[in-house]
Amino acid sequence: MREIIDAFVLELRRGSIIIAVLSQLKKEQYGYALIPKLEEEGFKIDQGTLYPLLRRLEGQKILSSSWDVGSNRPKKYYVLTEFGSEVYAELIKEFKILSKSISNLTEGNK
Amino acid sequence: MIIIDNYADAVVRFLSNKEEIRKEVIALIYTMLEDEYGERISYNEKEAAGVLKKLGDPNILALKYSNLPKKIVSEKYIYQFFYILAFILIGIVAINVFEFILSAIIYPDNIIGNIFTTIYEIIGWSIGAFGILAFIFMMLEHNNKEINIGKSYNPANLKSQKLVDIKKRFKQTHYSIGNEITGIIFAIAFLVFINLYMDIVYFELNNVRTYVFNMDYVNSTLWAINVLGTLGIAVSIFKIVSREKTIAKEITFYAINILMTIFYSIIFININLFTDSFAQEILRIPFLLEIYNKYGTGIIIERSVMTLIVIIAIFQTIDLLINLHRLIQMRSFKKMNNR
Repeated sequence: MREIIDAFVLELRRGSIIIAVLSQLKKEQYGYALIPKLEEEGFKIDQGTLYPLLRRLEGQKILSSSWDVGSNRPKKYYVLTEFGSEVYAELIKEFKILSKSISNLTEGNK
Repeated sequence: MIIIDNYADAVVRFLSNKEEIRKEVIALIYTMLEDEYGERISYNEKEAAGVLKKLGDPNILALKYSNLPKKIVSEKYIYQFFYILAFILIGIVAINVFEFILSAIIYPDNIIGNIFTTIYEIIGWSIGAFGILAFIFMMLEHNNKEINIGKSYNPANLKSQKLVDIKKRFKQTHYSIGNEITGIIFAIAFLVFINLYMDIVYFELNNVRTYVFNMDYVNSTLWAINVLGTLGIAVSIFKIVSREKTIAKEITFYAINILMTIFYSIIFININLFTDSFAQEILRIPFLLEIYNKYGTGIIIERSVMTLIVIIAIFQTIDLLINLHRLIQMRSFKKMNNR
């Protein structure tokens, strides 16, 4: 049974990964730094998924990026754009509505 | 480090915006190395291989960067599938068009019917090829148990995308002096012949002299022949002076070539080979006699030359496409090396 539950939980987390990523990008961050932060909160995402996702979000103008070439090796930093902040706020609102709906449904079943 | 470069090149191989993604992938690899082994000036191949193994198969990473559909064939082979399919489809179109041209020559009365048959055949063959290829790929993948996650690949075995034969690459992206000089010699010989010695080409049968070239036609278009011939020589000289191929040059020269091919072909359409006296000799060949009896002489020459024009045009177009592909590839290759 545990395996089935784990798989469902993983699916739930996967569905909300974009919100989790956006939540960490109010301040400039480089992609790889997000991985341990997300992992701490139970969102396991590998680099090969995170980087293309960041790139896609950048393409949608939700994130903007810049290269830091000051250090030994260049790193690409991402941050929410103004539009991205609006999208993020809307997503949070939607997520809360969804969460409330689920609560209502599950509590109603009790 | 070669192993990292090869990995990044393998990821961006089929992607657009190669430079940016390549830079990003390399930055990611070094960040992973720093995370795993601490910040250092350099890392060894074994360490890099470990990180690359963790990052997974480059084909799968590439697919995550793109938006290609991935339903019929798995992520690992989707690019190969599309590449092979593209070549097969080009082949199907080429074969059917060629078949159409041939049937138009032999059965000129049924051209409209043949157009529809050709379209149906292209569609039918294409659907069939897609199905068969998808089936073959599915069977191959069915037998490969390690296909889905990048466990089956070894970073050390990735082929270098950069180690190209420089001489070959130079040859492919520069005009050949030898070819151009030969072209100039032929063009000059052709112009001299047309202007001065055209009337020496004739045949005599039953005391009747027939010039092979239609003198009236050639004389009336001599100015155009000379202009185009000179243009051809000028193009060759220009290619020798400025040898590096560019997309603009390739497209311009392609247009000039097609124009020259069509114009000079018109001269050959007006050739006098099938005069009655000459026909008596050549039409001893039963196959030619049969066509002659059926369609007369004009149509044989006309359709043969038209077929030739189409074949030459197809080859010139294929050559143009190959050159454009190489130039585009070379451009991103240069950008990658200049970074």
